Amino acid sequence: MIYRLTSLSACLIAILYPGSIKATEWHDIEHHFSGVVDTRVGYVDSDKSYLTGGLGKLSADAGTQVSLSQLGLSYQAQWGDAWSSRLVANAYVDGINNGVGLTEAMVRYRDIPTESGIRVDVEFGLMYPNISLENVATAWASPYSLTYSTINSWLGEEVRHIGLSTTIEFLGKYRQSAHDFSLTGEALMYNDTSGAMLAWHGWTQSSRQTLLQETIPITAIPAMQPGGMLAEQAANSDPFTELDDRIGGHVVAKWTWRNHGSMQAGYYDNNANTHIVKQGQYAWLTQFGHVGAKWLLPYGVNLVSQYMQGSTLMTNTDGVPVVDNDFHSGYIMLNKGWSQHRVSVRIEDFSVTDNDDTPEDNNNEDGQSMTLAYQYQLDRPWFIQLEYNVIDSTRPARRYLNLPIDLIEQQWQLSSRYFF
Amino acid sequence: MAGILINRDKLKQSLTILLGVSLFMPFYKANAQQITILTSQGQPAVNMVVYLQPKDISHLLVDTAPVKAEVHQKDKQFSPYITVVQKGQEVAFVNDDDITHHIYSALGPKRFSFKLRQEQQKQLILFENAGHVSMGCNIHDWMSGHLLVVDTPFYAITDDKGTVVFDVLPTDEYSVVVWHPQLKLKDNQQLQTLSLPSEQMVSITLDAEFDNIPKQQSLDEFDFLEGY
Repeated sequence: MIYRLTSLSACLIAILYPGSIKATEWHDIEHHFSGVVDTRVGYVDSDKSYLTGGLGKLSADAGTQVSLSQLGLSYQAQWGDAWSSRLVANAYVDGINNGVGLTEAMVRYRDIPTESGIRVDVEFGLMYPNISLENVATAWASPYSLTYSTINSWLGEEVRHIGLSTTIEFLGKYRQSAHDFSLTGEALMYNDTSGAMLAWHGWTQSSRQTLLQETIPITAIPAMQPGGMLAEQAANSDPFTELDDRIGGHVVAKWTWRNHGSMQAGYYDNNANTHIVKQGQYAWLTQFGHVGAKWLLPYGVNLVSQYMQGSTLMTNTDGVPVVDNDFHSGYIMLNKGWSQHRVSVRIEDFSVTDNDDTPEDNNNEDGQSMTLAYQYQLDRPWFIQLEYNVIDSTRPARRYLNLPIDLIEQQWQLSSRYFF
Repeated sequence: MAGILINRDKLKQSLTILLGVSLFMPFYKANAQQITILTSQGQPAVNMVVYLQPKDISHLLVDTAPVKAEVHQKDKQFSPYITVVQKGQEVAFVNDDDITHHIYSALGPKRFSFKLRQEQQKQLILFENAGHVSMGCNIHDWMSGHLLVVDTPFYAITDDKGTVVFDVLPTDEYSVVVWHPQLKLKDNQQLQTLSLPSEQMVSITLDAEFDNIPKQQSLDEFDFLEGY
């Protein structure tokens, strides 16, 4: 209890005086805090946001907003050379869905390489699958753009788990090579509803990470009304729940060519037993493959690109398909930084294909989007960012809300991001 | 009148030169040696370690003050990239960044692992055995530095003209070793026997090419990465 209070007061001190505490020695454990404060002014030309149960793909309702879009705090403890733990909390004050809570919590073992250049990295806890190439900064923020790609927005919303991740890396410099290889195997639990939000509101574009205690409102679709095939579904989806006591898996292979780039390919299967439903939460069998690349191009241009393709299945307790979807999404982002400036351009293509015959629950979707971002580094930790997003999508389910099936949504944002 | 003045100036000039040469030459002839290293294309080979092993081992016992060697971690890079020290010498590792570095050597004659957690934190490491120490950072994989520990007091790193100068060198037959971690030769080195000091300029042309020298740079150019 005393320890918890000490940690809590340290967190508060770190929030209040971010510059003054970077690392503090308490006993034999080293404590380290880092964080990000992202405040934005935004204007959205869209409809009601998916965050409040609408079918708008952005994280804000139409109109002008001032928001604290991310207050992220990462607390790391390290003991010895190889062991560490990390707790990440995020807070959002956007007038739509205010909240504060944990987003990641893990213990990690990462020793130095052996003399043959093999390094083992093991993590256990609440974590993301090792997929995103955008979300590499403090508290899972993206250094490139304010809104994440549709792929990584989906991960942030409902593709997280409690599990064990083991990575074996083969470092090239130990065999006079510029090529590193790594293989990651992950065992996943508490992710049985992953896929529900992708079915019911489709792909989105935001910088929101669902908090551990949060549940996500589902768009009121006719099939969820009494008598409909989805009447038993709870009004909110709980993205971090274990329903079938089965372990899912994820594997990723990665190749890094020093000073050139890296490529990765992986396969995810949450191995859910779709016959299980508890308190209105159905187990969704979600499986997808993904590839990604980060490459340094001529003229100092960086390429970041990911593609994902898969399926998600929800059945009734007899195993009869109720929601049976295929999906894909891909983005190509180019960015270039020079002195204090960085410009990023991202284009995306995404779809959901509804293969089932459930009436009044059309999950089909097809869309494209573009993001233009300009970042100015005011000071080492302080970034001003201007961003424009446009999403052009077709979603027949919008007619359930008396909205046009074809919708072009736009967002302009001006942000101040301070990292510490 | 004017002529006399000019002559006097010329005389002064000549005397100064003579004085300089007479002071410098005996020292140079007896002891000093300049060596220039050239790439196979004839260009100056910069940042090469050059060390000399005398045939007469008693020549290893020179009374020189130990050179202070420091390896810094600055802007998430090892600086300098290459360091050379004599065996039995201590090297100070200094963190110039305001983030933690986890410096390690996992193979070779000296293995170590330590964290430098804050700016200006230092760690001294003693290198008792000769050999190549390849260093990395377990947090920032792109960081890469090399330390060559040699068993001789005669060592240096070439400047931007490809040149090293040994100020005090006893007359002997030497194995002249030229080393660079990316030199594409066995043990990354080229060896040649020479009688030194030599009255002539000594230049050595490398027989091999270099592998690409790695840029110590992350694929994500951002200061606030968090190990995802």
